Amino acid sequence: MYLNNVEERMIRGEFGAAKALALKVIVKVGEALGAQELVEVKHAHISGISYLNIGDPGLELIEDIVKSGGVVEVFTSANPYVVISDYLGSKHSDQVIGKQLRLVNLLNRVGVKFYTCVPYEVRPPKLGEHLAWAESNAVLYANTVLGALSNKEGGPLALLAAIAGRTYKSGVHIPSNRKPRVLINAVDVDEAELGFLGLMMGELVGERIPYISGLRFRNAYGLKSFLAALGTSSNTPMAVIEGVTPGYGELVAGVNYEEVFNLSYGDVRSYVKRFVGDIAAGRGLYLVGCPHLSRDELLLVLKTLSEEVIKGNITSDLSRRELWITTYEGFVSGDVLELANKLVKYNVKVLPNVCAVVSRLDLLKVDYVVTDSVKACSYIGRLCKIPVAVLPTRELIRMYLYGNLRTYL
Amino acid sequence: MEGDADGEVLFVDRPISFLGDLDVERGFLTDYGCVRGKLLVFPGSSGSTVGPYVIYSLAKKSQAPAAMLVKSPDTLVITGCVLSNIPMCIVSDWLRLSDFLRECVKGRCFGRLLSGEGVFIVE
Repeated sequence: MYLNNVEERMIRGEFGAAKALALKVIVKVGEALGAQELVEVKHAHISGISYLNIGDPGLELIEDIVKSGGVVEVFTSANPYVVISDYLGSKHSDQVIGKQLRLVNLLNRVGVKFYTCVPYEVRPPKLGEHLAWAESNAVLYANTVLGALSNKEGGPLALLAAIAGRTYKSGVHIPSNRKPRVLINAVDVDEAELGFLGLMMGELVGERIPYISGLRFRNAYGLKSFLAALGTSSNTPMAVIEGVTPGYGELVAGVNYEEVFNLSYGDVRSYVKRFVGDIAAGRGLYLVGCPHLSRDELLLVLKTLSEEVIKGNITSDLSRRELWITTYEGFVSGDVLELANKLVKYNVKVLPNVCAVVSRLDLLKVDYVVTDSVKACSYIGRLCKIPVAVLPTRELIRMYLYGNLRTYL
Repeated sequence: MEGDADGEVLFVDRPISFLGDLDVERGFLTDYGCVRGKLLVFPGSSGSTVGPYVIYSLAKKSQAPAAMLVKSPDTLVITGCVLSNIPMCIVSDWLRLSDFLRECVKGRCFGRLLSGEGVFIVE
């Protein structure tokens, strides 16, 4: 691989042991993938920081990187981590919480600025900016909606790229690799079905970039949910979406598609039916905010909740339910905080910096989950083996408050 | 990852899931036994992205293989080996090597990896 003067000096250790090791790993991985050179990134985003996922081995490695003087070279954020607060009185052990907080402290020392899975809501990358991001929904959003360039960096690679300020130039960092390979002629679906459509398309495309034509998004939340679900069932770092992706016309010009999928509304309905199931009774967790809500989305959810509460006819027993709303901590202030505080007595918790999906809800004695996120549904079902139902946000709120245990679909 | 290594060959005929298959404390691979100091020959890894951390942890606890010879290493195996200074190489003729090893691991067999020269010698 070609290294410029600065990179040669970095790999020789002139800027410290941590940067040398970080760059060495990136170069080796890049070489194995056929990369010819490195690319400087403007923003790195680290995933895999839940202690419940990476355990002591992960903590040990990050600790050693900090000890060897590792600090970030570029703007760096990280994914949210294990929920520290309790769920209906159940908490993770002191050991788990202690080690999770130790991990966060280490990352703070490395230079991580904030913890959220929607770094694009906090520092939106510019068109054409190179990134080293590791969170799948964020990578898809950056490439597909904002026209920034990022592969899905695996394991500790995004942390190493943050320290080196560079990643290997391959995949979608190279413009010719951003062309779609398959065509999906979509149908217009209800907002509630967008997530399922994303999951369904992900299964069809696998690792290939799709061109998605004929799909309408009524708001940003729908687009976000759709891409998050697409990233759950596929490995593609981007999609080209008609009317959404910057320069989509150029990207699809002259493409001979390997495969064409024509989806009908019936296909979507029968796919969605696979997810219909009964929700078990018991201790319920209602979850909004996967991916994390933006400030506007958060305000809308809290206002909707407050309006329902003000109507004053909540007679159902909330003692066996909690509603979690996860977001970036910078959004929890002013009117948001005021509304959130008023809702605490209804077991509504606005939780910044954390993620329910990586929090092993089964260990918190959650019996069932209701969420508006297909992504959360897919992961929680697999990781925690508890029943999960998906409802549109407004229906979820009503079900939470009025306790009507029925599935939407 | 460059480097030479000597040791007993441990041939694993299926992808290894580093999270789940490997007991880091004992350096023990499910169904195959101890990996410590061995030349670990396997087709690739599967599953969790925690792989690099597990490989690193093995090395820190002195339970790591002496080298890894892999049919198609993914970024996780490469990352783990570079971070842990474990020599790793890609096996160019997997069919031939795996056929040969399948026969010879019925007893114990020893090998030498000279990665600079791209040579793997099995005795």
